[in-house]
Amino acid sequence: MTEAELLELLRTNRGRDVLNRLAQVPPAERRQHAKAVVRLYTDVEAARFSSKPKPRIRDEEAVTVGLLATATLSDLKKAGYLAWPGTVALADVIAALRPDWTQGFVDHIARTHPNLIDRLAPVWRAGLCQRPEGDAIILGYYAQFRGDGEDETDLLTRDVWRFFEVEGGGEFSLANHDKLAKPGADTWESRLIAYARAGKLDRHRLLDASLDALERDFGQYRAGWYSRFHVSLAPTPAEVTARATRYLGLLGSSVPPTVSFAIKFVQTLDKADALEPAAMLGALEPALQARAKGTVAAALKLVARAAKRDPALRPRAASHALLALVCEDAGIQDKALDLFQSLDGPANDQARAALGAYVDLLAPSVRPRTAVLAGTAPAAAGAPSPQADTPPTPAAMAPVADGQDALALFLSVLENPRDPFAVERAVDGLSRFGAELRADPAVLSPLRKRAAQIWANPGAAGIRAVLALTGRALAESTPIAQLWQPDGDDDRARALPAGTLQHAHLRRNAELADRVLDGTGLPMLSLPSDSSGTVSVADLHARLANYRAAGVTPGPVDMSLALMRLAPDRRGGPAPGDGDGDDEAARALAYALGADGPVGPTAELWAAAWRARRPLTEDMRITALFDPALPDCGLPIGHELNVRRKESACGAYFWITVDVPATPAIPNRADILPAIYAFHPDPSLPVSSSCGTHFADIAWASLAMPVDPEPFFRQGMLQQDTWQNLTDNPTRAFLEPFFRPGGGIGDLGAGLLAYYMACEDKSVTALAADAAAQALSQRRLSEVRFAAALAPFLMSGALPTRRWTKALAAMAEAGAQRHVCAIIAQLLDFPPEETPRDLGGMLELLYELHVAAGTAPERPETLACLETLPGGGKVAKFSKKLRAMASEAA
Amino acid sequence: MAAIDQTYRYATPSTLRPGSGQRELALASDQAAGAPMRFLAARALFPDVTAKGLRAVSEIVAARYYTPPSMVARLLREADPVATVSPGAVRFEGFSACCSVYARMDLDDGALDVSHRRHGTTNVDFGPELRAALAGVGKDTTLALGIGADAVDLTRDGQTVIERKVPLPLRWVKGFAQVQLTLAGMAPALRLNRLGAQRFLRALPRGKSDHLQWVSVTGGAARLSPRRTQDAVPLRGSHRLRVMESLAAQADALEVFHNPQNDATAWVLDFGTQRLSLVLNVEPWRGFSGDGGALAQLAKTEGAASATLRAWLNWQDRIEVGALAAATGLAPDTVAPALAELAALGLVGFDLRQGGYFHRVLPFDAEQIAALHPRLQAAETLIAAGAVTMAGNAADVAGKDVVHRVSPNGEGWRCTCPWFAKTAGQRGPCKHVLAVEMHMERTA
Repeated sequence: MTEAELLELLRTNRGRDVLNRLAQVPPAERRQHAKAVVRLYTDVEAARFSSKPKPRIRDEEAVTVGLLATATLSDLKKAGYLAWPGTVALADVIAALRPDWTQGFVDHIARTHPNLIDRLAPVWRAGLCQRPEGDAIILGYYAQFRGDGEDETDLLTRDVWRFFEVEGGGEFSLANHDKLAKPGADTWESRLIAYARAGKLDRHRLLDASLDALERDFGQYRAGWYSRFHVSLAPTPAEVTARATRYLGLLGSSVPPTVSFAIKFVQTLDKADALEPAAMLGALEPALQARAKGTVAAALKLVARAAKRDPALRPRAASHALLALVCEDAGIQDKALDLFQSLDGPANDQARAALGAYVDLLAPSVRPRTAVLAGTAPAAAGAPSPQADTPPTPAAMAPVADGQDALALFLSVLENPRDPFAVERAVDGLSRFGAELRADPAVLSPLRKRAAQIWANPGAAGIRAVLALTGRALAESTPIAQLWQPDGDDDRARALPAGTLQHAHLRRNAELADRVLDGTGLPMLSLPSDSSGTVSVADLHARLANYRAAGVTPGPVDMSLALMRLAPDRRGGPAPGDGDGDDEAARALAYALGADGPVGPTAELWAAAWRARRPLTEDMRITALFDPALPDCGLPIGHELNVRRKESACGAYFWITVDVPATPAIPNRADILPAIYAFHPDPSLPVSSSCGTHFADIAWASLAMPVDPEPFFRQGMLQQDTWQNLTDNPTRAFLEPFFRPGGGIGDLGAGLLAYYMACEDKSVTALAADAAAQALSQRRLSEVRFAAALAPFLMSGALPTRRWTKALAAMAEAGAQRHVCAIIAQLLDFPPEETPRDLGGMLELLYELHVAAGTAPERPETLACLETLPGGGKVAKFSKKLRAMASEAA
Repeated sequence: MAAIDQTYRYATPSTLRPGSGQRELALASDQAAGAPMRFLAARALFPDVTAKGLRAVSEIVAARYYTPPSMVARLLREADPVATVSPGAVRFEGFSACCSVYARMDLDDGALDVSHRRHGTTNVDFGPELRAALAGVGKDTTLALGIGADAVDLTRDGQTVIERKVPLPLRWVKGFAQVQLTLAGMAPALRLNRLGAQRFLRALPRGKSDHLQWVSVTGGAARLSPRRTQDAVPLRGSHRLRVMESLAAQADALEVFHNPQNDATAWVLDFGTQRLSLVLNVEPWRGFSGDGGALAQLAKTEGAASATLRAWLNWQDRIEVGALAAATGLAPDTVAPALAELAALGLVGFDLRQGGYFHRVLPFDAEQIAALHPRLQAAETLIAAGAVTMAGNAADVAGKDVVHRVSPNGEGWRCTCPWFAKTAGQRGPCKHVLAVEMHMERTA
């Protein structure tokens, strides 16, 4: 058979026919054509997963059979796709072709695809090879191989005992098998128990083997199967007693649920007096330091029992009780001290000294008692002073020094544009030195190459596309307008739609690039003067003077952005002095500072100038520049914050919806700078926020209006998804303004902090808590405003209360204890029927903070609320303690 | 993925076998490099700590904290830890498969009752079976520790030698050399006592955590902050520290060291006579091998100083620069860089406790490491192509359609290539800087 004949056979026949035909051809002759068949097979398979043209084949199975008939084992492994026939059974193929690689192929498949072992079984059952051995076959059982029928003997005599030695991993484990079993289907747990009941498996050996497996410290998820299995075997008291030392040994497991499992059996043994007290006490050491509160509490009880049964153990037991103090829970710490005290621990100098080391690390409510027991002086109550009372002083931003620095910085932000200040310095560097750099094309060659590469694939961040276009414009001496076709339908066009901040960024850079291409180097008007992100009035005056001296008209977008960043001082002060000129930019600046001259004609520039004025009042001359009128362009807008809990029809699922409607309503997306923030995102659009969806885009957007970031915070609230957990959550960029020098924080800023503190994503929560602690300690945010912003979220019941409790605890840890006390006190002001769920943790936090500070709740509304709180448990316990604390203080 | 085929040859698998009144940990040593030998016979004086510490090293070696998307289906077979027996210490070291974590267990003489010792470095077999067996070692267990003890007899009896051929990724091997330089650049940053360490490790998220956090210590307790605070050290991928949790209860303290150059951190649980160190690269998806801090050393032709030192090395536990300078007649300021060169070649390791190097020879082909380093190869190619042109104190390096400018920047160099723009030199020099340095050295 020639190669052409073989390929024709494979293309035009069905798999079964090909098999019958090739079975007649000697193996050596078939093998000669392996290369061509492998190529055909690879093409067929590749076409399944790509847009490559599909070879004209009547039956794809024919090609697979052809491959198995011609290839060596090495060819099969290298083919990249698993060669597996469909309607023709593999055993039939192998029986007909009798390849010399059958055993190797079966072993290879078993090793690489344990989930296919059940489909290999007919091959070894037909005597065509040996059954694969080793861990592979065990993983096959964990996948879907049942090992019943004629394989059952192997299962029951050999393989089943390997279940307790082979942990598995990924998708192949006993835990995964049983968890994913369909309802009503056999699990390995039920099968093994049934075998034991039927006398086919030794029950005692199963009990021991499951403990063996637990001693191996398998991963927590996989170890769970063995403890559940052991419990399901329901060992009798005699069986438990016979394994007493094994259970004691498992108390030292590094798998927390295994420790919990073991301690239950130890409790049983202890009740039956089946344990030697000293041995039990020795084994309890790790359990006393377990993570689970329940385990520690049980271990403490067992320590007490051991000391009771053998009084000689009391000193040792007292020392053991102290080990439980590592638990963070104040209740457990109290129990440990109770036990320590009851065992006369304080009488022992060594134990007292050991206790002394714990004092500062225990819950505040436990510290005084600990200090007394340890014989040390109790620490004076009082919250430490907040971390900083004054906002940081803005640090001046120095422009880049020369062309080489400018190029280096621009190349750097092209790779990583997350720092908006670095981006602005880099663009300013090109604005100043770009003309000089263009003198030597070799100098710009790295920028030309890299900018083109990034533009070809800018990724999700719109800002990278903006910077790549800016770099290209400079290095290729071509205006941005010629480099970019905004009507395209690729990622770049989608990342830079009109009406977004990055589109405005691009328009500004286009103005700068055009000037640089004309050969004029000048500073960028909108470069922030310092780390607050604002442009100082003096700097803007000086930059405008440079433009006048060079005979250059400032770009309207650059000037608009500079005005939106204008520092809040010098409003209503003296009019600009002589020499400031009477061009439109100078008039706009004067207007922004409070002057009342003629306005227009550049509408966007005057909208920005109006946005920079303080106070912000309606100006009909500005609104008249727009048709139709645009919100926040001459007409101040107001915001509402609506927080609602939404539920599914069945009531089983609920979620939060947050809306911040503006008044007057915003009709359409506008490409005018102040109005961009006012835009109400449409979730159906690819870019739903005007700030972008990438961290770097949002971080740059945070710099666009640093004096009044409320509209920016509004976008942040609309964009948050509290259930999202991401490695690099972009919404953290909405918190950037809180860490910069700045003024007071408004209602939307407070709302943003409150909302972000309850996210699923810990990186967002922790950052929001840190930001809130800082804002409170710097007096940029009052407790009353923050509590008022948090209340609607908490009361909505749409997110778990414990998230705020944790975040408030983190704020306290960051030095804001007094503020957190005040905030919780403000929150406790609701009728009893509206009590949020899981409030106990928050009350406990309030109690501990008051103890630490040596204060007590005073606010009458708070005390009234505590008086009427319904329910028992933690809520009742701590509301009672707080009221007692208040009464005592009074 | 570039790899070195490393063949481990063991006479028998390592075992933890019950003996008369004691359990004996027999670690099979690799015989691929030569005749089988017995390195160590000792009794562990703190068996629970030693067993858990060895288990932790083994767990790290078997772990992969970051899996590139293209490698989901192709997980690396674990490589074996490296054991070094020297006059005053026994050390076990290894890397996670992703190379972002380096683990080392140092056992000082106070942790072992040694009856036989032979200086040397070897791979030791450390499979999952042994890991499982070590879990059962308690403080009342008598634990004998032997490295390579039974190999001779068993092979004489005609037992089959166990061979495991492992394609060690090149980065795994390169990381060993790189991490020693990282350690040498570290300074003590934080210290927590036992309770503080326990609290800190227990408070870390149980699941995978890739968020950057900053750890500081206030009033004896660790605090995690999402923002950098004064004296804080960075921690990203805190799940990489999880193996320490079960050991913290027995430690005296947790010490943290920080390398300000590349933000790598070392977390050392100190048990008095034993120490478990985990060195974390700043990002879990970043292997030490790619940091390239050793490249500048590897790029140099071996100097007279390092050649002198190489001859002087004899399994010292501590190499003191002053003493070494006196012994070799070299100036002290030439000894430190020469030691860094030797570290880059895998000939010395760095001990944070002692603040100095110790001698050991990695059981890998170090020459192959240097030869296969892509950035070094690329730099050689640039030089061979005559791409480097000096221009005053700067240089132009011609590439395809581009000329990169390498210019002095403080104490180092600055380049206009994307690698430098991305890393700002934090991950070692780019190929252009290397080419310029090599060009300058060769034309000097």
